[in-house]
Amino acid sequence: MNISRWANSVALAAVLALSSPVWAATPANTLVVADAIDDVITLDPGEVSEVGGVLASNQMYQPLVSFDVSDPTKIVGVLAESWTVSPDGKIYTFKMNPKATFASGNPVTARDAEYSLRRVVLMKSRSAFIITQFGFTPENVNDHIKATDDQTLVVEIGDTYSPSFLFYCLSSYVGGIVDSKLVKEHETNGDFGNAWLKTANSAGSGPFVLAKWEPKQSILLKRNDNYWGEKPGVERVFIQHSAESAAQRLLLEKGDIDIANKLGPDDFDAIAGNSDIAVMNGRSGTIYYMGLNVRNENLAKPKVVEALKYLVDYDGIAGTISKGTMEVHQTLVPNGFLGALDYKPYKLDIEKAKSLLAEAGVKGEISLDTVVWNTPPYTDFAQAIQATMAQAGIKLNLQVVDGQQWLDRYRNHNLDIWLGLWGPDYPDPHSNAKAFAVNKQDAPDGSESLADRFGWDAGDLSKQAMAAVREQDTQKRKAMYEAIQKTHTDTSPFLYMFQQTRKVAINSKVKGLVLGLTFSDDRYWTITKE
Amino acid sequence: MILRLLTYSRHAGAWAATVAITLFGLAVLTFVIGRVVPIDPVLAIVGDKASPDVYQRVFIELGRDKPLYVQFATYVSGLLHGDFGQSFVTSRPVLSDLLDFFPATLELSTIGLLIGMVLGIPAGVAAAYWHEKWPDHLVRLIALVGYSVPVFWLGLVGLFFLYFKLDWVSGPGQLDVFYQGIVENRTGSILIDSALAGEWEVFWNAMSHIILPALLLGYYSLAYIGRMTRSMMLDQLNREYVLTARLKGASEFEVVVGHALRNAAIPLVTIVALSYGSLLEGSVLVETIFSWPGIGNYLASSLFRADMNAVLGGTLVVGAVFVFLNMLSDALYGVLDPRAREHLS
Amino acid sequence: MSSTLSIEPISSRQALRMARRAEFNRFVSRFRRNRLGMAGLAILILLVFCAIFAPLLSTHDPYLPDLAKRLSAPGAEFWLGADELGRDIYTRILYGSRLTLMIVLQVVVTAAPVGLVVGAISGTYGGIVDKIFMRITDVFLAVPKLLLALAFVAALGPGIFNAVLAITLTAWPPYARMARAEALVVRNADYVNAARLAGASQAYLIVRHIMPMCLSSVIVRMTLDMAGVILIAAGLGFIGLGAQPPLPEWGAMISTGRKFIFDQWWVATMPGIAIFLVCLGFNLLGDAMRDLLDPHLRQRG
Repeated sequence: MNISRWANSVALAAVLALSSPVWAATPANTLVVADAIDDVITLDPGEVSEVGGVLASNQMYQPLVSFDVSDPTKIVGVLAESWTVSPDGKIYTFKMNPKATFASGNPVTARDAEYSLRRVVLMKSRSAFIITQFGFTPENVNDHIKATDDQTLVVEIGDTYSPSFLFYCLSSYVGGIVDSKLVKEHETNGDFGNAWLKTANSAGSGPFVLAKWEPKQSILLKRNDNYWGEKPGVERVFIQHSAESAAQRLLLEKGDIDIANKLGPDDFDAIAGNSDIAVMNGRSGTIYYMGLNVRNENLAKPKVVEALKYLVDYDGIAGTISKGTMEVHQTLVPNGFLGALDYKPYKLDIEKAKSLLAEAGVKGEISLDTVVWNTPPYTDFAQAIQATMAQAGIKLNLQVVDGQQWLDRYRNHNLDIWLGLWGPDYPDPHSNAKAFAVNKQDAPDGSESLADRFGWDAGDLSKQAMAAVREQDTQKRKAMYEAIQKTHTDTSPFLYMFQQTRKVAINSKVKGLVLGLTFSDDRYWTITKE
Repeated sequence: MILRLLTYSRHAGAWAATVAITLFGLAVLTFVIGRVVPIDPVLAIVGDKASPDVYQRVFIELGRDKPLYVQFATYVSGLLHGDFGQSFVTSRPVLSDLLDFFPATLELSTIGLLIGMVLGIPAGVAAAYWHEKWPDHLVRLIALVGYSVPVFWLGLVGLFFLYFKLDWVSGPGQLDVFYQGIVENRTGSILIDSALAGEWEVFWNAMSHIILPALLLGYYSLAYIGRMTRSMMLDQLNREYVLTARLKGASEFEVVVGHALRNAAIPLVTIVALSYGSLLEGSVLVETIFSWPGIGNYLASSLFRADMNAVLGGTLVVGAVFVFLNMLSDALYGVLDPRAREHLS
Repeated sequence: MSSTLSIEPISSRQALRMARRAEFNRFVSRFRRNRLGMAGLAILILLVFCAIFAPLLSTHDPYLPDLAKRLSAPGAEFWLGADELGRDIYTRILYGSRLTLMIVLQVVVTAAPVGLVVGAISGTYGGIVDKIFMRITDVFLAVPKLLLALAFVAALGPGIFNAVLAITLTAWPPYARMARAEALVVRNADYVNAARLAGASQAYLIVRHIMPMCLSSVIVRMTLDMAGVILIAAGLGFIGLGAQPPLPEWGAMISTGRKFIFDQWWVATMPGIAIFLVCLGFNLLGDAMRDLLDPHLRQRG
């Protein structure tokens, strides 16, 4: 094509584009999901971690056990049919479901489960922490995770824990079982098939298989024709990268997408009257909090910490900025989890805060470096908090950072305040208790928790939290978490503010979407489109 | 012409050295920036929950345990073999990522440049011909506004009116979701691919997506090209040969287009080459607003994820294209301009 | 003209000063006839006025949120509307003019002198010094400015001070090129040679003879560059690497307004208009100055 014809066609296109509005609707056999997926770096179930990666992985791989979405305290079998726990609580024996098969047609056996769980530990995967906290190491994992025959998997953990704790961890993303025959064929240099599974292939037993992943742009899944469960209602799932709320809303309004996962509060407002769009409410364990680094000389004073807790306009922010996407929540265990508590002792009270500051002997202004993640609605409510704190002479130097920039400072403990969120890795209260209350020296794997990051010695609470996760009796365990939480809210340098209320906007043609406990846990195989 | 080129090639050696040194300097600069970035790439990969063991594994995998000069040497020797390293986000060689993302940028900026040329050159000619009259004022105004308005803001306003209010164009992205994956990727340009495949519906959809960002870039190059054309034409129209031609009875069109524009064409070529370079720059912000899967977007998102190989590779490639365009415009000027030729010989 | 007729002997220094003053007066009277230039000057005076008297002109507190009134439309209470936290956009734009001025001034007092010194040294000494300096300049020129600034800010960390620093790091090379070209011309001029023979040091020559020759082109170039500097600063703010909240930097304001562009258009539109006006002012002024001071400097970019 020569230049002038090129130019002609451009001019023509301009005329055409300007004269005819473009209409489109998603095809009935394809589910189109908009989400921010440009951060996804792998689709290997043994190492996925980003929201979009986990979401895709959950459609392709299945765990041994999972929980009932409508009642997360109820454990249900997926690839395991039944299980028993030894009296000392250390040996778990799983019986596999004989009906289950992989997309390749191979049956799902205990050997596959053994291989899949071992590989997470042996690869030193970044997600391994979820299961290595049970005492597995690359050295002992071959003895501790063992298939005794094709149907039986025996797992021996290093310590006694509440059984539901192990089940929840196995139900999370690292617990996805891969087709060991297939993956072993594609191992290179002892990588456990990581290179093969990472970008272009899947080897699961779930309702969908990977068709194509275009990094930073889209993930396309196809129906698994050999699926051993009920056939999914759509043939393809297309997860399209779209980071911004306003853009997703327009795509949804124009019928270009079926599900918008990243809508912000204001855009929910804007679609409220639209009969083509439905809004689903789901549970979410995500908690918004501020971590105060007690290495700072001012924050080391408990009265100052307490004063700050009175300097957030909790109700104002939840009522205006959040528009129903957050509710006030001031304890470490999210609503919907075992041991959750309705305990909200703090509200905005500038006078009280001022007198607390005076009692603490603070004179003049305190200036604190505050790191905020550059994602809505953080920046908005960070500025609202900044303004109320300023009224009591607390100056927050907000540093809005993108993505990964904060991690380094956060690890090196040289920031005063971190304003962020915490999403539990598994729906067990221990996920949060460990992060916020257990110090390094009490953790079985010796890992640094949020408490350590912010320089806080949790004292007795740390031991109580470990005792709670070892408690076998659920009712007793519940009471223990309730006790821990009150003290923790009152004394810790963590300023809990809100719990997310998950809202997903969908095209009203989409029926049967089942929302999980997080954005990465939604189930697309139950969906049909009218 | 070929002879001229040959005489010019004496300078090619000196040029090649200049380019090589510049590119090497660029590699040093980007490498240094990449190492002082306050983002720990290891953490960016493993996340903050991973154990020290896992951190150590990735630390070594990335070669961060070696001294800086070794890391630099490894990097440069890789570059010489065409190896830009691996992007940890896409788990692919940076070079193949760049080859994937570059065509989208090229497509966008080429159409932008065409718009700038098709509108800018006639506008500049008209402004010079009717000097100090309304066409002149209009062109100067358009150029002034172009130099003064933030591109990202104009893009947002454009989206608001043309897409949201009037629905004349399509929104962000290269294609409607519905049309994605229909046409096989051959050249990297969706317009060309869909035209080759005869998928006209896809073609028009792609057109309706590209038109707004391309117009935006086109406007900026129009401002530049129009203004430069104007000043060059003014220069030519005041020369004696124009008067001579008029006295000989040539038509006004012949005088302006046949004589003056033909003479102004030489420096214009260099202007166009330069404005192509600045379009690459403008595309960083435009691509962010229009979610355009081009090199600007790739660079920005890699930057935020501390995907340093990708950032370094991308900056190097854009820098190299920039250097190349500058050199090209110098070279064209030298080859085409009689005075420069005389000067050389 | 009476001075030339004066019988009283005047020192050459005095004569020089008078000649300069006459030249300046001529420049002023010509400038006043340039309507566009005057318009540009008026816009910039308005900018300075707003920056100085922001507290008096404003109607609200630029930082205090009023969540109940967030995203209010323009009207009697909020002349240009309210932003996502219920802050008055008009007030924030007024205060933002201080940031814009600060950015501009900081870049002016850093980039131009650095470029000037590098270029003057390079041109005067020549040889290996010149080669090295010019290669470095080329490297900086080889990367698009915005991209380079982006990379620098990423390395330095976000913030308005670092943004200014990054812009400076990308803005000096053109001045160096310009100063070098002037220096090459001037260094062999008779009066410079005379000074050199009289035993003047290189440093003295550079400061006393070469740098002043570059000044008028540098001033013109600077005025024209200012619009570009403001646009890059706003671009960095827009990407989120420039000024941090709650600073009312215009680019950052557009960036937050982006989320609301379809429903509350005023949040992003108003600061955009402010940027446009100020850049227009600098461009108009720069064009006029170039026409008057430096007829040779036709090309820009």
